[in-house]
Amino acid sequence: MTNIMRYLLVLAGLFSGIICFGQIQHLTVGINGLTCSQCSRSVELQLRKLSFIKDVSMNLQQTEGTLSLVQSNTAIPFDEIAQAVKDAGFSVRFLTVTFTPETLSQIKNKELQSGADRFYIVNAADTPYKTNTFQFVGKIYMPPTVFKKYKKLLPPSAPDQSSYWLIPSGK
Amino acid sequence: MHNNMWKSCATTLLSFIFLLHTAAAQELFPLSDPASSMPKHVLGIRFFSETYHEVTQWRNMSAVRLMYGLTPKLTTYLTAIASNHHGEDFPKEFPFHNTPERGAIYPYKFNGAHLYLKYRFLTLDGQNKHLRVAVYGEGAYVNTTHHESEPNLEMGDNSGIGGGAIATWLNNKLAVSLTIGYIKPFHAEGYSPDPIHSLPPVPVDVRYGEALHFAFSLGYLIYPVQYRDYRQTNINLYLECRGKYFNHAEVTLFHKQPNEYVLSTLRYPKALQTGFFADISPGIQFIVRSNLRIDFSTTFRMLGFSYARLYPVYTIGIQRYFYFGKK
Repeated sequence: MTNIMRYLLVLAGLFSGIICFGQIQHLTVGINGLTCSQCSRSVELQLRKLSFIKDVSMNLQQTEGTLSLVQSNTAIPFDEIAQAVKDAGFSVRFLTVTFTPETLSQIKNKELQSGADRFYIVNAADTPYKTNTFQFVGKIYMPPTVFKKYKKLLPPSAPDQSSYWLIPSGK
Repeated sequence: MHNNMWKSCATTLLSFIFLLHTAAAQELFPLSDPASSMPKHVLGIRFFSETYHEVTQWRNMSAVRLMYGLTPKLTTYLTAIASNHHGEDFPKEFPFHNTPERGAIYPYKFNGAHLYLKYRFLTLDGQNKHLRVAVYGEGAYVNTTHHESEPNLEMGDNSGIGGGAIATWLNNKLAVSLTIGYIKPFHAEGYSPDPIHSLPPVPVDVRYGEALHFAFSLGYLIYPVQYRDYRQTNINLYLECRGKYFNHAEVTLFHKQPNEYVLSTLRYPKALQTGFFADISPGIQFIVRSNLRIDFSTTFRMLGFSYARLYPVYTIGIQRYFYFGKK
């Protein structure tokens, strides 16, 4: 995909509001250090403060939260999810994004546009992908020991703002 | 009496260890602070109260605490303390008689305030487990006199400063927290009424003993066995062992007068001498709708003696968090 095409796709997504190349079903955030329902509630309420979060459903047993997003074509600051967990006093174990199943066919050259966000898929075989859930890769999205493992897979240059590295989720 | 006490302590501890294998852990200790911090920009309000029976009356120290998460790692508490435990003056003939003073009537009054800052500097989080270490600093200002050497900033016995470290380890079914702290109490000036009514009261200056203190706390959840939602009332059991080593006080009579003299420690009653004690405090806690926290605990003597309280000491705490900007 050329840069011009990418640019056109972003513009189309922004202005039409109809053409979306990847649709996010939901996000799931795993939280480390969490042990009680009061702590879980604190995380949920920190997440609910985020303007782009529509709803939060916490799984107290698995210490995970499922997040649905407000429909928008503007860029989603996913790092704010990690920051909200940190603000509640806990750590992110993982952050995954689940796309609609039809989105998989729209992944070209391991790249996907969703709204104003661009995702790059690393450490994956060529399509078809066996899952429509992908995990964010980054220092703030996983424990330091896990990030160390994936760091070497990332290209040397950091992604632009509103661009994210993903790996197919094993979950 | 002591044998019975040890038996009850051992039974409580063994029951606790047994239950640790069947339940999840909690670190919201009724009497000690864990190394974990409050969520950022969340306000908490805690009311807590300490009560014991003394001769014919109940002594009570009550406090209202505002708690705030300044950053995810920095928490501050500001506490206002009132009690019927302290007066403005020292007892008559202090320190030769009436120390520790038992049965004196003091009106319920505002004692002062306590400020606490805690910074969590080590966080090793895993799924359902963590190891956290924090340091804290505290300061108290009270406008009342305290008649024993043992300092206590949190309940407003003394003015002073202090600091320490807290390590809290939590792994599925076991929550353990250790606090080590130091207290540097400020001296207090006041008057002790002269037994001869026609004479003016004796000006007294007391430099209370510096103290090292510790708390070793264990906690676990007994209900619910499995979390379903926030509406389930959580019931947690706790066992806390707290102790203090304190230096002797230094008492100056006729302070700042020509006949001023520093009293020899040999003449001190025990309550003003160097001492050590370790208490044990079983407690129960109810957390309603994952926010309203109600704690009850009772403190029993284990080793040594705290002259500043009488056993058993009953403690109640009620706490709630307020979240702003939520949807």
